[in-house]
Amino acid sequence: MTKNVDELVSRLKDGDLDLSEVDLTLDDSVQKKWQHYHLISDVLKLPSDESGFFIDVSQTVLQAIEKEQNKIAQPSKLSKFSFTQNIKMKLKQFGQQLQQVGMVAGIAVAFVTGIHFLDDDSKDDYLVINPVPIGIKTVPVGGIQMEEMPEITELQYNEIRFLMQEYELQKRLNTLN
Amino acid sequence: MKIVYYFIQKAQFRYFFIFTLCFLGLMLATVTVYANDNKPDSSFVHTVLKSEKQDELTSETASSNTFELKEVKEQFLQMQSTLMRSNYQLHFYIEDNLLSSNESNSFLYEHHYFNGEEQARLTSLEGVPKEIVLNKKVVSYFQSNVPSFSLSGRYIMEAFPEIFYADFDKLVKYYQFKEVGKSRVANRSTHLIQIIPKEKDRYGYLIWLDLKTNLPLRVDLFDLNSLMMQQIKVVHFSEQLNVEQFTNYIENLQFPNEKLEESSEIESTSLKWKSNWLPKGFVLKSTSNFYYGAQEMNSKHYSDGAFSFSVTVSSDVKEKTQTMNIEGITSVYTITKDGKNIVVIGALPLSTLKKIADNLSF
Repeated sequence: MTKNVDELVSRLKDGDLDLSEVDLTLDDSVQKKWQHYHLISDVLKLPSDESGFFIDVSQTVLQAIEKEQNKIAQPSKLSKFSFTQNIKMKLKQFGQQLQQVGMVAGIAVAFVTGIHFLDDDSKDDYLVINPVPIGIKTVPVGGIQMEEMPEITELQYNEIRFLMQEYELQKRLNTLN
Repeated sequence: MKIVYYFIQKAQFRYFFIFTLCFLGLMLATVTVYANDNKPDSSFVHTVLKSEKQDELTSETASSNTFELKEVKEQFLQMQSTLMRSNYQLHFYIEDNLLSSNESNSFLYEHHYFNGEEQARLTSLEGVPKEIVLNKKVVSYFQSNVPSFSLSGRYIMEAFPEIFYADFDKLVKYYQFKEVGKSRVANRSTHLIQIIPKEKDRYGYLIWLDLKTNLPLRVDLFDLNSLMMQQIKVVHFSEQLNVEQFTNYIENLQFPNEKLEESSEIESTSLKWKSNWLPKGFVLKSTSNFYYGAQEMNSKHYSDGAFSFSVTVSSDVKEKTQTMNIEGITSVYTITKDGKNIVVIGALPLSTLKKIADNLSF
């Protein structure tokens, strides 16, 4: 039934039906539907740029920005403070900076002392913090001490080898005493 | 950033400051602790044994320690007894930590004891075939391409070092023995014993003894900086030895005719020298005179039971301005002094060898 009424109203609106053929005064809901269909057709007939779905916000944003700028441009409230308040505030700011610097310096000091502690005996193999970058060989100041480098003749080398054999032999022969 | 500023300006200012202080303190403390912890102690304390650091040389007098010493002595004597008077078979490897590279070799050691006589065989399992056989106080060396030879000896030194056959009562005067824990080697539970020299002029050992038989299953040799120089590690241990097969093998072996004996003690006429300083506990074991080319040499061999060294003096110093100093499992120190060439070779730190050489007089 309702579907029939809907169809009738729709057809009436589109001009397919003559008004005399339908009695629309019977129902309130039918009247509402009539209005409704009119609204739908109005919206559909509008050109796209004029329809309410495409709202241009740029104007309102621009206005909002202008208002904001006016607020920012107002004179600073700092100048309205008293002299002591001003000093206090500046001290506070300085304190904050000092605190940050202090913290960083503290960490740096801790690291440096740590490295010095560890570096006391550089022979240590398991350094936690290695001040020498990995992959870079360090040479003691003054260059390599050449006197320490063994640079012996083959004759001497053979002699030492012979003495090492003799030492090993004596070591074994002495196991009996 | 704004949030941080807000916090500082408002109530948290003080808390933040306190937190920073605490953080710094903690940081400093951590770094200090690490630094102290890692300071190398020149004793032979392995990193595993850090907790044992507190009482070192002085602790010997403590009553609890004398008890411990007794226990360790018992273990050590038991170890020697098993090592020399039982049948067993060990597969092990020896790794030498050399300056530039690590050298590792694997071996099989078989030991047989019967009627007060020892028989043992050390077989190299890789590279050139090599075999060392101990048969009734004669040690014979067999190697392909090298003539075989024999020498009189009590044990095969290539398997386990001198210290395992040394007199405990003598060793204990110069080394501190200490049981430091339990561990596991070759799928067996072990005691861990630390042998530290009392004077910092020689190396130290850390040995793993089997709980049941007290046989050494792992031996680590450490230098003065607690760096490991040599490791002997058993990977398989068996108390089962095919005695018949083993004795048959040894009895059918062609032993070399040449046998090197201990040289008679003759004092050199042209080379007279004496040492004014020796590391404590080292005694003269043998003196020998020999020629290298036309050069006469006089050599003295010293040992403290665990380690040994030899001092060789020769008078020919032509073209011998350069010296050769090596520190390692076998250190070498050479010096020319008063027209004499001195070569000190031994299993001691280079600094000790230098001190020995510097204290010779002619």
